[in-house]
Amino acid sequence: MQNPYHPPAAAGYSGGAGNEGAISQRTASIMARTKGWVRFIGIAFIIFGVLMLIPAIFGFASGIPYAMGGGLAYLIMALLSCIIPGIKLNAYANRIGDVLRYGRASDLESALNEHRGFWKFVGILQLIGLGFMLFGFIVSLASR
Amino acid sequence: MQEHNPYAAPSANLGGKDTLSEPSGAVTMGVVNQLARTKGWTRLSGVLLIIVATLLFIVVAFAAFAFKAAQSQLFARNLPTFVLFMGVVIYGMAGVLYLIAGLKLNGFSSAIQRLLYSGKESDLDDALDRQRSFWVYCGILAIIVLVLTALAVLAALGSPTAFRQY
Repeated sequence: MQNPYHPPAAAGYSGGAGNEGAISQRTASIMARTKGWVRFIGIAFIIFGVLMLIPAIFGFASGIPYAMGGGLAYLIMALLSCIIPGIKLNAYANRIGDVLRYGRASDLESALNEHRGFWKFVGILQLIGLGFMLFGFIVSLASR
Repeated sequence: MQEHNPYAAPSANLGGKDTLSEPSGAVTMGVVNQLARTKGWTRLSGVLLIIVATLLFIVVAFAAFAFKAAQSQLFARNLPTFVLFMGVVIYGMAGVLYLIAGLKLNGFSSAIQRLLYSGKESDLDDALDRQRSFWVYCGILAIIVLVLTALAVLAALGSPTAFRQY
């Protein structure tokens, strides 16, 4: 018999956020084939970020104000464009590992949450970059 | 057939369907919600990639026109034709690579949209497979770039004259 007092639920989908439904073999196979590439790109991002830190370290070590400014710029670039996205991608690969280990929909949800976090971070960076470009464009027009 | 209960708590038909299919294993509310919140960001990145590719194609079109003009000796004294030719090739290739990445990301976003309407497990698999395809593409590109970089470093180390010039 239907319970008239049950909490609201969206139709068409099973359960809620904590649902323990199992994922299908096909879903698991797709995620398994995704994991290696995500891990590879994540590690490549981090390695590239670490390489970008080398000029930053030299800049700071030089003690010259301009070089230190350049070092700071490299540090920020390395963190924002390489190291943080790389860490997020590796976290996504780790969560995919949980999906493959336990086969639960809740683990798939955690993995997709990490994936969403990566794209949100990238999107915000792109919007900031676009904002700077627009600002530079307006400044260059105004300075004529 | 389900009995209609006038006292039931309100519920949203997120699938947007007249008839509701049986809920299937992995398509939980949480999974769909995460993908729905990802869709906007991947669409943004996909559209930006396509815009960048379009701008690169415009540059290529101008460079190709200049290259053709240089070949016809109209501007032969002023334009370095080899640089223009390499510009056309490199910018054209970059434009194609950006365009493919943008199309793949937009395909992923569209697959999420279909999942939001249908709530079917096959649509979830399609979205995840498109996402996998994007990462495979990026991974292969990363391998190619790494190999080319390694070759360039080896070539530079192998030809000491390249350093003596500077």
